[in-house]
Amino acid sequence: MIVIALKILIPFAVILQILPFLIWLERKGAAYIQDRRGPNRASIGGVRLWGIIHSLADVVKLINKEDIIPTHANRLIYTLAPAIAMAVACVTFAVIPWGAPLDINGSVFTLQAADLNVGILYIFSISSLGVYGIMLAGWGSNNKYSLLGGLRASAQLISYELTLGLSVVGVLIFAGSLELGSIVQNQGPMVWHWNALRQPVACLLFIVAAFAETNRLPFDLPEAEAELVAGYHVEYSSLKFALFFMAEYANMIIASALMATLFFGGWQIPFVSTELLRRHASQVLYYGGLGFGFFSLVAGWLLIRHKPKIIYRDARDRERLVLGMPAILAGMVILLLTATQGPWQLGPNGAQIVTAVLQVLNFLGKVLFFCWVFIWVRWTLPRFRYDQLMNLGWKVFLPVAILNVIVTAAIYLFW
Amino acid sequence: MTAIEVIFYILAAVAVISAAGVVSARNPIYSALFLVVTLFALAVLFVLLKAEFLAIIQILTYAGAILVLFVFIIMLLNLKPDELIERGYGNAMKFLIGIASFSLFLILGYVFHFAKWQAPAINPGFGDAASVGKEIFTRYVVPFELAGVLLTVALVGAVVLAKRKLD
Repeated sequence: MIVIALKILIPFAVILQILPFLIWLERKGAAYIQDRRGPNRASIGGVRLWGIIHSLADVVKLINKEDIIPTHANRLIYTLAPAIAMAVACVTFAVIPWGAPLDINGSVFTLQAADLNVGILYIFSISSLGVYGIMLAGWGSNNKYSLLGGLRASAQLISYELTLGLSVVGVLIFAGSLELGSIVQNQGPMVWHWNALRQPVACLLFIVAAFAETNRLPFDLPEAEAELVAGYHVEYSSLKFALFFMAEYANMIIASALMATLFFGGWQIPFVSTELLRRHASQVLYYGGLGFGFFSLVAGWLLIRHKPKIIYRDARDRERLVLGMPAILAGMVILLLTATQGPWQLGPNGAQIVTAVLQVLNFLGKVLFFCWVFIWVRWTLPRFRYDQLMNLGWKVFLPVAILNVIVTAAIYLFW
Repeated sequence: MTAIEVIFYILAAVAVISAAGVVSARNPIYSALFLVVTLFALAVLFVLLKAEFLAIIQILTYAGAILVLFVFIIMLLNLKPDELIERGYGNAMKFLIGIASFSLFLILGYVFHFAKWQAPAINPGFGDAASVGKEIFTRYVVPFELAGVLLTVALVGAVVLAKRKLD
């Protein structure tokens, strides 16, 4: 019981903590791509931390804004829509595998909240329910532009759901099962078995359809600021808008996690299989600890070694110390601990836990990398016009996806 | 009262109340949303019957695509509740309809209560995607293909009806 509660709460908490980091990454990434500096003013006690505090300021601002419900808006539907959007975004995390199954003292723990045997279909069906959030938001705001934005957004979403589903069928043919855990384990640790290389067309189709599904540029006409005045969430303020905002980023994280799971090996560390890791877990921990301590030390020293230029005469001059000193201290502590305690004797349980931690970190790294790709593409490509978007979805992607399924099935059958 | 029975009663109550809401809501959008809740409850009841694939497909297609279409149409038609003209029945007619529905309910209740139910033994792969797929493509392949043809006909018909006349 406790294990299930933990398995539900921990991914949810992790995702909620990644969200402010993603918002910061988006704003800083956008800024550096556009050759400017981005948010770097919000500070706590003079320490700016390169703009991460802006996310905290955003949260405080969004909570304290006035909560407006437009006149003649349908109150129930107006309030329900962001709740549906956020709930759908959060519930999808239940089936994503974070690591290999652990076998502790005879009982098997899967690192998934729910190992459904229709795993991937669960994600697609819950994403189809997310269309309701957008449609009801557009309609319930009693605003022509919201309605137009909402209808456009839902039409775009249901068009690209088909491509999303069909591009995954090739992956399912190889894996032979719908469970996400089996799909990840079917792509072994060797990189040439990962589905991005076995199914390149499907990978590309999935990535583009994921962009369309999360309403991100280049497919973000439904919430285009220039054309539709922010589309379906124009009438929302304060916490309801915050829910939409968070739902968009949560959808982005889900899409990245799906890309990593289905096409890029999920939690598999490239070229290192789970058994290899478990056999050498104590050495991995020892040398990993030494390496990480050394790296932390060097990083801290690199941050600190510049002489503080006395430009501002307040806490901003010593900003590098805020990250540098803890890095050096942590590095020294870890080095001392690891070097003196020596290689630990990990039993089979300890080895599995170390392996699981490494695999979860690996998966998180992949997810964050794909989130960065989302942000990168957003600020690089121009927007599609709506008819070009629908043309692409129905006349180009759908036939290519169907063709991919046929060719994959033929190759799998006759080879 | 096992956990499954409790879950069943709660879900059945939710399904019946939402179904009543579908026919009695004033606002058409509320009817569609009540229908979504009903279908969701039915999908969970399918899971209780070990038909997991069917449950997920129900949510995916019925609640997630067909009802989206319904809500789309209702939003585009923009019916206000006052514009829906109610065709009234007289009091005598309402009484007769009430008697007929109640007797139907009694007959169904009698049949379901006194029938001898025999649950057949299920194989381990029951309700899986593989078993449903096997049945669809071997025993029921003709209805499957006919359903596909029907959907294509509907699609072509919709496009033809909605096309602008080029003249």
